[in-house]
Amino acid sequence: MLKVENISCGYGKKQVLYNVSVTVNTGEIALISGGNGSGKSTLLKCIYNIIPTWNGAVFLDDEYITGCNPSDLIRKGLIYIPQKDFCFENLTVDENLRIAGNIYKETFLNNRIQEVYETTGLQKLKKNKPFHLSGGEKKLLAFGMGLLHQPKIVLFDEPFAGVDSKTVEYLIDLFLIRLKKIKCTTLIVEHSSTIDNFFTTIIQLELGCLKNIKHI
Amino acid sequence: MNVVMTQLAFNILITFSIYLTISVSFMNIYCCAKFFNFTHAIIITISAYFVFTFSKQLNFPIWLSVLLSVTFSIILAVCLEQFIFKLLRKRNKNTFELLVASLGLYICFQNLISLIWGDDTKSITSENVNIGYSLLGAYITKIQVIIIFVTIALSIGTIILINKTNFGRKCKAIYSNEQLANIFGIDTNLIIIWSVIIGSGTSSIVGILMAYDIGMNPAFGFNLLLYSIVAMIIGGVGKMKGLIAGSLLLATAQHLGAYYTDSKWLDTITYIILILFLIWKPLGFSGIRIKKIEL
Repeated sequence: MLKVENISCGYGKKQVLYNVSVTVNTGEIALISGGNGSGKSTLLKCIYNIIPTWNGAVFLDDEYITGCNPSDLIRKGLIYIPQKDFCFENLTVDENLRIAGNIYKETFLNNRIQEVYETTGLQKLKKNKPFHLSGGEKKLLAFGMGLLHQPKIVLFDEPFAGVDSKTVEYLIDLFLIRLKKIKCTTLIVEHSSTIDNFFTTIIQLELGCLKNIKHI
Repeated sequence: MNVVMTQLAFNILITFSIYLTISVSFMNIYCCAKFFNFTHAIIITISAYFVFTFSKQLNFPIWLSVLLSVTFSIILAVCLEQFIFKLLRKRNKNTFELLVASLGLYICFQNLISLIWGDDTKSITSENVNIGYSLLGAYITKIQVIIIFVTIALSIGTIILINKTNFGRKCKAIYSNEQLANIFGIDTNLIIIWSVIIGSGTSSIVGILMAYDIGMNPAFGFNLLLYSIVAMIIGGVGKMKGLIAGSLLLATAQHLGAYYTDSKWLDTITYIILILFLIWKPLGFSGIRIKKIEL
């Protein structure tokens, strides 16, 4: 379970989130929706400590994780997949996966990478750099880098941005359905209506405040 | 004529190996810290002065003087990184501000070196000047042979470290996308510290060897660093083959230019080449764009 209590944060002196409290139970797939500038991406970044909270707290299975560094969060089962710049352009596909899993020992990491290759089919592209991949293949790589950790909670920031509808369906079949099956808690910031059927919870933000939480 | 060309070839080889080593070590630090750090020139200079102090003034054996010198140079570089540049980055200072800060620190330290040791050119060795070994009609001294072997070994070692190890992969990841590297648990500060340790250690050894060969003055590290940065830019940042090509081109142009004109035109030749590359081949030999450079 992920619990956010009275989180406020912003960029520099500009406040973006105002006392947002949200609870997402284990296995739920939550959509974070709202207009531009409502604080959706900021909320995910704050949970993952990419931007520091000004006040408030984040709990993972009742454990206080506010301000934890990312390597600790990954070990606790939380991973964040950003919206853009989600891979290392100067590294090959294989190197990208190795960097994503840099906290693990080599033998363990090799096994996890092999599983990612089997799931995504990226093995044939392992020596290519992201520059040579299509948009869909890059998204496969981004998903692979995140899910390599077999997380308990995944924070997706617009995972289907810039991807055609056919690829969206493919990514949903490949990843979201799997995450649902293994009861992985998922928070998704997304504008696309293609995946409306998946959500168990809709969290609506407006101008940095929580407007509504709806359980489906 | 053949003897002249052979001598030129030796001189080019020595200069190329020095520029390559400094540019490789500097580039590694630059790729992690993301700004041109001119205090690197201080490390090159002060390591030579440390050896001078330990060996000539305190009469320590040479091996101990070199070891202490490299150690103190690394400690100085790490302190500058931890207590000044890390603090500036935490306060969201941009790369230009960090560059200016590093230039200011360089000037302070250069003046400190002048104050302590004087502005005159000093020599670490008290041996008589000797003509060196004769090879194919040209001459090369013992220290120059050591320079070639040591600097090439250091360059190869650094290149292997960056291209074949986990540490090198993390450096490249930070250079490519620092935030994503943080997301996946890479401790950026630790990687920067290690790149500073390795880069400073390498450059301090080059500084010591250069001082043994041609003596030292408070500004000699800065000139070496500038030439190495030019080699890095014309070679293209981020590609080792580019660095090798850039260092070789610059060393060749400088020595041939000095031979056919006069050595006082060395700087002019260097910066003309830089300007020509920036106009016609701004990405250097390798074609990799420099990120966030403001000079």
